[in-house]
Amino acid sequence: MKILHQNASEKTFKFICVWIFGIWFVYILLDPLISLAQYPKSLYFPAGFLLKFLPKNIFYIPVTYPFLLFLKISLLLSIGSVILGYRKKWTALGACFLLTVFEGIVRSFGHINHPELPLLFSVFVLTIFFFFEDSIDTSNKDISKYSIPLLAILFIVCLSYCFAGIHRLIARGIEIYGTNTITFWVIEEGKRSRLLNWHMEDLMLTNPFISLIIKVGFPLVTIFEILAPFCLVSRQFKYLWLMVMVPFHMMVWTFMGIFFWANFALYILFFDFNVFLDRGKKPWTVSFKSL
Amino acid sequence: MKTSSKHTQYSAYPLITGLFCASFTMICYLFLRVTWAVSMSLFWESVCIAFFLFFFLQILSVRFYITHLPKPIIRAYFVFFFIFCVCHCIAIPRTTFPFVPWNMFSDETRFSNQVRFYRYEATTMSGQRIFLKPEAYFRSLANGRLITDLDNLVGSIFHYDPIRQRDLFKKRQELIDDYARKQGSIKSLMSWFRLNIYEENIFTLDKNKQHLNEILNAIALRYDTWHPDDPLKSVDIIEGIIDISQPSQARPTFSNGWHLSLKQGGQ
Repeated sequence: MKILHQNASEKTFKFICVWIFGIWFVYILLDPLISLAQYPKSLYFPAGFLLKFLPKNIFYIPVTYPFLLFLKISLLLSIGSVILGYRKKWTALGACFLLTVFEGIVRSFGHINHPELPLLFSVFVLTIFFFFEDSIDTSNKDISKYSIPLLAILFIVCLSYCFAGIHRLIARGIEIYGTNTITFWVIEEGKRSRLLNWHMEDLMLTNPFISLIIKVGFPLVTIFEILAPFCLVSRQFKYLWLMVMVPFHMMVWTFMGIFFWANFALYILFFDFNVFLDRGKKPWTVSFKSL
Repeated sequence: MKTSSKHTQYSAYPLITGLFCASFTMICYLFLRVTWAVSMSLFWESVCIAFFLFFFLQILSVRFYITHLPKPIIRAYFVFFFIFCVCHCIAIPRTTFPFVPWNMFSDETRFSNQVRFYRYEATTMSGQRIFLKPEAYFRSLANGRLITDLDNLVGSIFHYDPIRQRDLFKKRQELIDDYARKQGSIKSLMSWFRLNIYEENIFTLDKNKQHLNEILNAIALRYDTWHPDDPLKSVDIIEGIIDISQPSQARPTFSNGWHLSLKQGGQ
């Protein structure tokens, strides 16, 4: 029994690098980060040790207009450099630092949520790999060295699900599955004035079929969350897991307005697309020579 | 799967992985105990995670894979995953970010049959009534970051609980006193730790009202930048309540909760 991506090729690895850094590049490009300079400073409660323990005289500098502009430009430059392969190790390290600051700033004004974090950790994992890449012996025929970062990223995604499931079960017990808790959450989250609302949360109250699916799905999803790491070792379980989790995420999005887009972006790693890239079937005709 | 000679070399693998899991649990325990900060259920959670990880790491293919990895990268990823696991269990996201606890849909304060939600409405200078989506004006804070905190802030003002507030301030004052009284002792160190590392921000009702007005003013300012021809005159927050105990008969009831005439302060 082989682990997923155990024989990943260099092409696969480079594709994933471009995928992850490319997503960040587009995300930063479209993010109106500079607008945060207009948000009240009295509501700035820094997230992360990089921001939290800044000396008092420079405490608010990260949320000033010049710094936010500098952050955006330097992020685009560093991520762009990684994609183009220019001094990859060091620009990736810079990107790690700047992305951590960026993600910290946007969470310093409010709720610390999770959506982009797996993608941030993916950058950490890839950067670590860039530093060790050259020192890894390539004579090992059993395991491709390019499988290491891919599996580490996938393990992070799976662990995040597993921890969420375990926490729910340990902290709240099983009584939340037999009460109106999930109905409460669906209505509460669905009614929030979000940027994008599907306004489908009322179906939880008016449509018994939808209500039943969500109530039955809640404990089922918790079990599958806990078992997520097994996707790495069992192909059958991986497909079963995806059959449960993809509809779950779609329902969370449509009924509660919470979209875990970064997780979806990383779901690509659940598929062994090595075959496509190596056989030249060209599902993606990207040139990775620059990396 | 063949049993390679390298495989037999790693007969210490169960011991090493066991030590990893045990040290992870131990660090979580020490952290939680020393700071006496949070529920010990987090410790039991770390025990469960340690057992889970230990058994997962013993799966043959996982073991085969890990034992064949080069040592330098194993060490680097080991440190990374160790921090990832520990920070989940010690649950102080404002300090350890980006390593955060993965707690989703497990909030203990949410057992109720009454769901409260808030609508943000505004009146423009021309008298037009519009719905405000706060996240639209600060899109960096979308995906729940702004609106979750804003709703919580509004809720804490509309349903102000003076007893809970008093208890929170009392606890905090005790920590400050401990820190001041026994400078240099372990207890004062722990108080400092709790005040600076664990501390979540607690504010008085007036301060919360001030924060709410500041946010609404900032949103209005952004709106006015985009619509200079018809700027906002006032913002209202409407509270809706739905009783979900009888889903088929659940109908929201609305009440006016907050009115802010811009640049004048809320009522």
